[in-house]
Formats: sequence, structure tokens, C-alpha cells
Amino acid sequence: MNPATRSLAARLRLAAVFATVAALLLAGIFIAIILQRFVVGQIDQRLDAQIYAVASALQRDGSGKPSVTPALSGPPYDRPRSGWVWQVTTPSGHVVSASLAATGPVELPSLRPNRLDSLLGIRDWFGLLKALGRPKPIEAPIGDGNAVHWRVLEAPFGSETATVAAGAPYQAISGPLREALVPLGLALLTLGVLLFGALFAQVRLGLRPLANLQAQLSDIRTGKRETLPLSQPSEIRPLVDEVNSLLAENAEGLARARRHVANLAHGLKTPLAALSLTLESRTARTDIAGIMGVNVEQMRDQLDLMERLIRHHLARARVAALAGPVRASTDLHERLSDLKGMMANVHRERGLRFEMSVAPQLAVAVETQDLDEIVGNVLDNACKWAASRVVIQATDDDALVAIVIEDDGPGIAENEMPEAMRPGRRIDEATPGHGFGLPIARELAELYGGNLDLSRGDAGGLRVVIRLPKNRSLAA
Amino acid sequence: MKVLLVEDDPSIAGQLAEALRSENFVVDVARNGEDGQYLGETGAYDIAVLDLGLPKIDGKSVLRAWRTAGRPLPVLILTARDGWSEKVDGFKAGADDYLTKPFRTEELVMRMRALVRRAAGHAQTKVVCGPLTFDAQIGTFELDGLPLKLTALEWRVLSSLMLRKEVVVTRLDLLERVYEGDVEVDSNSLEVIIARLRRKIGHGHIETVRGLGYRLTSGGR
Repeated sequence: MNPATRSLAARLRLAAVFATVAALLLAGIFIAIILQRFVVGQIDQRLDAQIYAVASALQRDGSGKPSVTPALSGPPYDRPRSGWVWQVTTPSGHVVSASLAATGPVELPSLRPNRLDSLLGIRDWFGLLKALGRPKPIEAPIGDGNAVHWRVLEAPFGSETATVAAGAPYQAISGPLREALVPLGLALLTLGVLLFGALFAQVRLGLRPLANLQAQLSDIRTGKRETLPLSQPSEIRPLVDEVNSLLAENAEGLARARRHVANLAHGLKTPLAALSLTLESRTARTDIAGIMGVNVEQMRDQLDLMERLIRHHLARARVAALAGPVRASTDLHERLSDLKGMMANVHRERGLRFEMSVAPQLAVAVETQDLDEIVGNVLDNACKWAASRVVIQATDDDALVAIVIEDDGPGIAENEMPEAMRPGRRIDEATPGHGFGLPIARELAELYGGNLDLSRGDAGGLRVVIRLPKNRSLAA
Repeated sequence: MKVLLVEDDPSIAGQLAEALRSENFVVDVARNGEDGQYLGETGAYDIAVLDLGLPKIDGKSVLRAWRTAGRPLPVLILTARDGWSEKVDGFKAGADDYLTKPFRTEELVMRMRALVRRAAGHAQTKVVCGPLTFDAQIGTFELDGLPLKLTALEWRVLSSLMLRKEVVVTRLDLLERVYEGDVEVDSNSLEVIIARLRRKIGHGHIETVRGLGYRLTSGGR
């Protein structure tokens, strides 16, 4: 996968690691250079002091050869092979430190102007520099194989030019440098580890609002909340606003579609009702029967069929408008109680006994309107047929909620059950009703990913089991 | 029996009113929620038939207003949409029964009679008072087991008295339940109807309570 789309956290961490490593390396190199200059500077001071001392003690002896008096070969310039050396060379002779006594003077390359030296500037410790000029660094080995860091000064000596040089062994530089660089490296390494830790924590902390956002979006999908909360970091806020307006637009579209369908239903049914009433009025009945010779009852049945078909297709259209992620949540106990109360009221006269047992805190991921439609149709049917008792149960059935509605009426024979589920069919035309209730209830339940099954109840009546998706978030 | 019909569709309202009148109901029609609410709060009705989708004030609010005002009259709601939620809401607002459009007039009449009878406190479909039997479900009277033929006005008066048997029903109450709101009523007409009824069912059943009204009793002829 393209690393750009893989993970924000990975991108941030990668960038942080690169930046940190680069910064630490740069810092390390820079500090090392400074340290080296410092150590070299220290050594140079010593060597320069020696050079000036030697230069000022330089004179000619009786034979006209150069000599340094006093000898100035105190430690560390006295030990051979120590690497600490000095020498004075003139065209007329040379003087060397005790440490060089065995090997004689070292052939040094001629002085070149050192631009870096002048750029960085060497401090004029003794004010002698101005008078004598400045010593220059030269790297050259001495006869015993020691690598030596030299300082060289060319000074006038009578009519001649004397080259005064002092050298220190490389170890005098590399030793202290190593001693300083090892702890420095360790410190930088520790710093790096700490920085990485802080950065990783930062990334995690910084990305936490995104994780929260995901949880909030999932809450919306399950219907626990309607919109995303607005208290968000300013970087996420525009996104949240966009999502919220998208949600609002969706909800509005859904409401509009439903209104349209409801209005269509209303618009179609009112003329149908008027037509049906016209057909029933006595004058019209005789007129139509007399003039046209048609069976009024048959016309009324046709009208009924029209009404049923409209009802059926409108229900389908309405439910189809729901397409998309369902994020509704309806409290089962409350709705079932309301529907039960209403049916008890309608069938008050018959003294129907309602036995309701609904597990508390059950919620289904179904719009209230649709739950009413599903349960209402089934319950209506049960009340119509019940002899004395209607049972309403709702139980938790893993991912689904099972709603059982059972009556103690005559029931439906097993072989007639498929017929009962066919839209527009009614097993018994005698009881008033639309005959569409059960098929519509089943269609709705299936559109929500549930189902509806008919079976024979214990009391011989019809048992309808409706399974609807559970809203887990509320069923804590 | 006097019914308040609140329905905005003129063709349905007109035909329904006509059909109900032919079933001896006295019908007042309100064409919007505002009028319906006013009539229901001020008039004497045995029952209201209320469409839930109304202009100005919707049916549910009208019903709630009636209940808030303490009007106990039974209310049957008509829902054009199949919405069970609407029905549930209607019942929560205080409805007693519902009918989904389109419906058959006979079913509506049956439901209305049942509601009126229950509201008057009669659990049985047949109300008996002495030799008189009133089948409140199909709306027929029998006298000593034989069908009693009545005019529409006579039926209205006798059914009102029958449903409140042994109770004094005031003249005003009777007049209101017999005539529609906009009809000019001759002050003597009620007496004329009572007299005709007495001839048909025998004197001694309808008592005149002076200064108050009339009472139907099971007492001797």
C-alpha cells in the first residue's frame, strides 16, 4: 500500500524519527568539531608558549651557531619518544629539545598560509603574536614514528630567518577528545531514546481525537447519538461540521421521502374513500345497478383491492426509502406497552387478557414508525382472532431480539400458512381487516435484516415470531 | 345521538354526514381543526369522529385540547395513513377507537354506536327499560319483543332517553342532541315528538320533570 495512505501515525513517526536522527547527528558532529578545536586550542597554547619561550631564548653562541639558553627542555620535552618536541632550524645550524636529541631535527614542510586558521582566529595569548607573527600548524611525523601536531613560527634571527617549531603527540589531542566524545555520544543516544519516546507518545496523544471521532461515528450508526459533538480540536472541527451537515441532509432527505410517500397515500386514499362512500349511498347503488347493470358488491370488492394494493406498494416504497445504514434505536418495552395499551383499549369490550413479558432495556435498531407498523399489524391480527388471551414476549436472541405474539384463537393450519403470507390474501374474509398486515410486517422485518415466522401456538392459536436486529449499545 | 364530524375533505365530509344522518345520527361538521376544537369544547356531543390530518390545528392537538378541557366524549379517529405510530399517538392523546381510511360506513356506524353505548355506561349491547329493548349495536327498538317503527326524530329522542334511562335528561340537552346546530327549532316540536312517542310506547314511561326535562322509567303503562 502507498505509505501516504497507510497510517497517519506511521507517517508522523517516520517523519519524527528522520528529523530526530538528523538533528542528533548534526549536533553530535558540531559538538565534536567544537571539542576538537578546544582540545587543539589547549595544546596549541602550550606549544605556542614553548615556541615563544624558545624564540626569546634564542641567541648565537661563541661559534656563531644558534643556541637556546637556558636549555628549556624541561618535561615533557625531555623524554625521547614522548612526542613532545621542539626545534629551531636556521641556515647556520639547529637546536633541538632533549626528546629530539637522538634523532635530530625533523624536516618540516614549508609554511603555507592557512586560511582556515585566519578565518577561525587564534587568540593572541601573550601579545607576542603581533611582534613575532603567528605560529602555524603543520602535521608531520617525527623520526621515531610518532604522529605529531606541530606549531611553526618563522622569526628573524640576526640576518637569517629562524624556524621555531614545537610539537605535541597526536595522542595528546585524541586522548582527551575520546574522553569527551564517549560520554557525549552516550548522552546524545539517551536524549535520542527519550525524544523518540516523547514523539511516539505525542503521536498517540495527538491522534486520540481521531479515535474518539471514530467511536462517536459508530455511536451515530447505532443510533446512540444524532450528531457529532462540536467540542473537537480545531483541525477536526471542519470535518465534524461537514459530517454533521451530511447527517442532517440525509435525515432531511429521509423525512422528505417519507412525507412524499405519506402525502401520496393520503392523496390517493381520500378519493378512494369518497368513491367507496359514493358507491354505498343508496341512490348511487340503484343508479349504477339499474343503469349499468353491474354488481355493486363486485365493484366494492374491486375498490377494496385497489386500496389494498395501494397500501401494499406504499409500504414497500416507504421502506425502500430507508435504504442505507440503519442507525435507529427504539426502546422495545415502551413501544410494545403503547401498542398493547391501544389494542386493549380498542378491544376493551371483549375483555381480552394481555400477557406481556419484555426483557428490560431491550432496544431494536428499527425506526419507531416501522416497529409500530410491524408489531401493530401482527398484534392487530392476534387481537382480531384471540378468544381471550394475547401473549406478547420479547427476548434477547443473540444479535437479534425475538418478539413473540401469540393468540388463543383458531389459528391457521400449517398448509395455509404460506397463503397467509401472500399479500392480498385473507384466510377468512369474514373478519374485517385488510389482509395485508402479516405480509407487510414480514417485508418490513426482512428489510431490517430480521424475519417473521408463523407457527402453531401452545394454545392452538397463531404464534408469530418476529426477529429484529438488536441495538447493542442500549442493551448494556 | 349527536356526532361531531371533523373532516377536511368536503366530499368525504358531505357523504359521511349524509350516511350518518340516514342512520339517525345528528351530525355537525367541522372542516378544520380550529372549528372542530371549538365545537368539541362547547357543544353537547355523544361522540366525535376526528380525522387526524387536518388544516390549521392537527387532529391530535384538537383531541388533546378537548381532553385538557375535560371533555369526556368518546372519540373515534380516522387515519388516512397506515401509520401505526399515528394511531398510537392518537390513543395517547385520548382516542377511544380508530378506523383507517377507506372504511365502510357500516363499520364506522357500528363502532360509533358501541362507543356511545359504552360511554353511557352500558356494558351489554342491548339496553332494556321495562317493555322497551334498544339494541345499541344495530340501533333498533323493540317493544314487548316486537319491532318498533320510529321516525328519525323520534329515534333520536328515544335513544337519548334510553341511554340515560332513569335519569332526567334536560330539554336543552335533548334539543341539542336531536337537532343539528344550524337548524331553527320550534320550541314546541320537542313536546310534539314526546307526545308521539308516548302514543307509541305507552304512557307512563316518559315522565315530564317540570322545569327540567324528561325521564325514561321502567314504571307501569
